[in-house]
Amino acid sequence: MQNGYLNFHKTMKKTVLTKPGAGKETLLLPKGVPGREYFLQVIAARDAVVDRAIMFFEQNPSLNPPIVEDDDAITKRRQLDVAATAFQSAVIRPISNADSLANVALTPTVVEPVHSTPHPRLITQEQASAQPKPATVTNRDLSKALTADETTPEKTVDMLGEARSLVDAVFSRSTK
Amino acid sequence: MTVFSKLLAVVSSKTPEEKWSEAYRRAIREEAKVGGKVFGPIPKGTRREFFCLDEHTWVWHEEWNDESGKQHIRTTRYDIRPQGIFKAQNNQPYKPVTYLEAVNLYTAAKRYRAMIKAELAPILQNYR
Repeated sequence: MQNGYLNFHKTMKKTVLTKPGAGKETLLLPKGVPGREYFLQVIAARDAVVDRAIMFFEQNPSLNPPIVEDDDAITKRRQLDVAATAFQSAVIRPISNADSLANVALTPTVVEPVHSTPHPRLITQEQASAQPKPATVTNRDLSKALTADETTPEKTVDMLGEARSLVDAVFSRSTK
Repeated sequence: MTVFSKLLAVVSSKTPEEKWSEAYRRAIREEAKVGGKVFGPIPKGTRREFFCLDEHTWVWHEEWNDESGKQHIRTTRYDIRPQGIFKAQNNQPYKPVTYLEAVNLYTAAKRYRAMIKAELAPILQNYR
């Protein structure tokens, strides 16, 4: 095989084999001959240069071009961007601004129309006083509601009267 | 007197820096001959060399004769830059290469390295 480095190699052999009976070490080029060390150093240096050159190649953008999007892909990506922005403004920001979990539960998480009722925390003092106040519920009302049955007050009075008459009749009978 | 003995004579008569540069140039010339075979058989009458000049530069040199016997010489220099690969032919301005040419050049560079290493292996083995 006749190629560059081998020719170079054979040339060196031819040059050096002038000393009969030389050992293996001196077959190619004996130590101390000018050029031997340079040759070795140059080969090592060139090997490193070519390795680095390949590495630069592999990192180059010409071999790794960016992915080119077609029109459909661009449109779809923009729609996703818009949806993501709307979601962020409607959900993520109210939650992140909330003081506590209780407030999160009270905070509307959907974007309401402009004409809708403003959030209670956003209305003015006058607006608040103008709104109808809810009826005040006391503990007594609650217990009354819990014990109430379908019996009307008039019917209750009649039943009590009958009971008293019955008791009076029993006692009068027993005392006789 | 052989080529290398001529080189030794040159090397021994210069400063260490000059010796190094001379040996380095000699090595590149030898590599260029090997690199010329990266692209397949070389047509008869054509001289083709391909080599790595440094970490960022590759050179493709070609000389051939047309039917009329006129000689043509074309030297293509490829620069590997951070923003892309550019080439210049016969000292014309640099222009970016296509994606296909970049891939072909990269393939050639990898083959070049493999062929150089295959040649160096037996030589270095003998030296160690």
